[in-house]
Amino acid sequence: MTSSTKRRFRSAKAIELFACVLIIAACTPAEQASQVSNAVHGPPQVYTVNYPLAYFAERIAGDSVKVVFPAPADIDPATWSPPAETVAEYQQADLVLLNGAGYAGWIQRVTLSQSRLVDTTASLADRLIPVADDVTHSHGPGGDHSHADTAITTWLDVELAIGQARAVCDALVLLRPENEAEFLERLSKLEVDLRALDEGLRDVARRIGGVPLFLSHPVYQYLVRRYELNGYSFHWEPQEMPDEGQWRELSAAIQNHAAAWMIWEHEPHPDIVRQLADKGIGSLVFRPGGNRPAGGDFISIMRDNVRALELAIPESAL
Amino acid sequence: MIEIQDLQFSYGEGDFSLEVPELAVAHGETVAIVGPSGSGKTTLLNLIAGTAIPRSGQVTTNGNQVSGLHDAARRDFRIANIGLVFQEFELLEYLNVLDNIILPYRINRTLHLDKTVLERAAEIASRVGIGDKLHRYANHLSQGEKQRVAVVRALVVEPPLLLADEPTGNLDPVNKDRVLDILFEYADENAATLIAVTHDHDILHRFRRVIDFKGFYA
Amino acid sequence: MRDVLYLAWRYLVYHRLKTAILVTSIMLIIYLPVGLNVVVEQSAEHLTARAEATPLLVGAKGSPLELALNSLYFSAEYPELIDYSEATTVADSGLADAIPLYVRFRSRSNPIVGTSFDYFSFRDSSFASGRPMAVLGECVVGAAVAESLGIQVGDTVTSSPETVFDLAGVYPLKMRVSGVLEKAFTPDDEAIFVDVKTAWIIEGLGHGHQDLARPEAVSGVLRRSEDNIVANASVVQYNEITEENAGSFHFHGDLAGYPLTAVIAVPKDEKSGVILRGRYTGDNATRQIVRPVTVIDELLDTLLTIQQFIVAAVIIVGLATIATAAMVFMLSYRLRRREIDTMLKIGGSRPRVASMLLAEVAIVMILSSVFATLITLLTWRFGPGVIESLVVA
Repeated sequence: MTSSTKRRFRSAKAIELFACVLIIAACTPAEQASQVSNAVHGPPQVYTVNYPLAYFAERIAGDSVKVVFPAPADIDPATWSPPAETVAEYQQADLVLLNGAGYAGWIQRVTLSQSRLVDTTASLADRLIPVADDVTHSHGPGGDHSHADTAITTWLDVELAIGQARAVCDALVLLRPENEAEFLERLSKLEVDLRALDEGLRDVARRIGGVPLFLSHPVYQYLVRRYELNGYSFHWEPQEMPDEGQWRELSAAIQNHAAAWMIWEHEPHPDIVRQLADKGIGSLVFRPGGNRPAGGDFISIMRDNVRALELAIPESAL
Repeated sequence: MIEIQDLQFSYGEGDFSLEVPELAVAHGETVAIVGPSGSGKTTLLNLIAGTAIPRSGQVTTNGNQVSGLHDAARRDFRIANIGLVFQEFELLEYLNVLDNIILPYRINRTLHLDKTVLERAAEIASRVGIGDKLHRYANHLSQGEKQRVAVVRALVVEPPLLLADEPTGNLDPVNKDRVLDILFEYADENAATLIAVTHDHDILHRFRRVIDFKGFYA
Repeated sequence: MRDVLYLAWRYLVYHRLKTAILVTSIMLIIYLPVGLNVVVEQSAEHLTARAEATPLLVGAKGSPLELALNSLYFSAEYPELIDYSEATTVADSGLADAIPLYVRFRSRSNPIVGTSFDYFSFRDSSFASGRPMAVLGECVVGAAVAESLGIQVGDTVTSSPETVFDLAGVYPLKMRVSGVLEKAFTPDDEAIFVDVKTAWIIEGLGHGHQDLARPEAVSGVLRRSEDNIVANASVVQYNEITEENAGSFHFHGDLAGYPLTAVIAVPKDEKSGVILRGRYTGDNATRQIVRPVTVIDELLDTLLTIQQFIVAAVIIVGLATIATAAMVFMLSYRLRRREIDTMLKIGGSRPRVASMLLAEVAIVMILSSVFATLITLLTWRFGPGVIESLVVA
């Protein structure tokens, strides 16, 4: 209350209270039960929406924070929709690292504390690759629209990955300012590894040159752009035999894009490999690495990817 | 019991005046005062009781010169020594019979209300036939019952002097006799003095002395 | 003293109707200004506490009171809408945390408050059971809502349609209760909290439907071209968000343009608050930023003025009542002259008789005071809620 209002209340009371004594009984609310807070003991919790971000956070922060990436090992985090109880875990985190670029669409369908969210590609928006679904739909006055805006596997452009690692570091420093020096030092070491990776990819890509390549799924946009690969994308799944239409599409594509290799996200079904081989197309696996690997880490997976790509180097360049 | 000497009384600016050169009433005597209306009979009772003060002269009641006491002292004396019975009963309608009877004990601190008083009140009430009506409101009683309550109220303090102003004026013959029996019985048992103002000549024979008041006023 | 009180009490009881009228009249004269003061003070305390706990509100230019009442007390009348981008602007300024509010829809009589996760820590809310809403379609209900509807975690509540016969209007959305708040003795007790995106789904700005590319949706397809499918009105839109269909829910267009009723701005510090407020000044500003405590203070000033008028009127009536009561006592004394004379005649002391008469007055005053106190206590307990609902309504 303003002081003038208080004064007026006091004088009003003096006029009014001429008759009786009030018995003042306290009536306090009940003791409060569980509060909405971080019921966390120990280091701050950092949740991520994919494995690369978890890797960066672990490399940068070490034991200073607890990094959690709760997606099951056998799913693609890009299309994962966590159950409500897992979302509740994200709500309790001190920091949630987002990939941005439309990765993890489930973020749009949950409730999280905005102040604890960090979009690691927010400052890289001008370098994101716009894409559109093959099929749009429309209903009502909104007109045509699709449900995807940008390509999502940003870390396959290792330079973008470095940008994301720096964003992770900035967020961790805000969380634990007392560890800033340590985090910066660890970031620089991570950057060394990432730059070596980038160099390795550039080298193998240079040696591949403009050789046409088939990409089983549209998840390599950033790889293609950064390393100037000549790729053509399909919508194939590694364990699903393509239908007749898809095989026809392949045959038609070969006419103008005579690729000798099909790049897969995971090990393809042997039957598919065989049929491709019949058409003179080999299969190699380049794992995007969105989820935590059974063995190794992000760097080792990407090094494996580099070695796999070497299969695509033409004999003339060997 | 009562001695009056050279009493002169008048009400303010009015024509009425009362002169009593001499009057004596002995202890235990029963006296009836008769006379025409307006002759000052009630005024005399008031002077004896101390509720009125003479212009001159003395009124001595039970050895106390009542006329010379100040107001509070007169009341204290009156409530403990004089039982008053009125023609119109003068009961309090919002009190029950018992509360009316013991009223004197509640309105003057010189009297103390205790268990003895309550027992006495109940006993006297029973003797006069109203013992079963103690918790009735006074205005739920018959005329005769009301007057009996008033009489018991006068008797409960065990006064040596009873002053009754037309005690049977509003009663039928049966109740008249009943009330008189109570008064005379008390006077007799306690050697108390009874002075009653009355117009009823049929009851005069019960009094030892009758004073005709027509000679006392002017 | 006991005898005096006894006689006085017997008189009052015998004349109970007169006593009751006197007691009631005097009780009212005592209670009205006191009770009014209690109600107004308590209401002021409630209103002020809520306003003080909300540093700043950003909303469309217009009535600050309407903005404050809708944002703090979830009144049915809502202000002109602003864009969600306003919340982003506040957050990105670095000067304050932003909590969006979209208080427009209702579930029966309970307001549906579209907001963010941060609302609960901002209000220091405690959960009696369950947890905050995590996914679209979940809601948190206030204690009073849970009690009145008999609902608990796992049950559902449904939003009310805005217009029954408007085929293009707001359809009911069934929402799953994820948590029940502890009683807070604030408007939060009566509210249903959802993520602001759920509120947009209630409005129809976001929805979930069958995948039109799948065969089972063929009946919902109006026409199909190589790269576009147009749906007809029969396409099944979901009115409940479940784990199975959650993935189909989406929003069209840029969320930055989606509507809010207000943004709660929680400045980092006082200086940041001042700077932030400075950004909303100017004649051409289409947005306003208000300090709820200032708005509520002005409202309370108005209430206080009304209260003072009422009290002045009550005092005048009170004086008349006291005068009437005094006259009643004096007339009563006159009518009881004979009774008093009798008591004096039989030897009652003047002080005692006078005390008896005064005791009657005292008992009436004491009874009036006691009843006035009891009613004041009831007013203290229930009055503010009534006043608040009247003010907010």
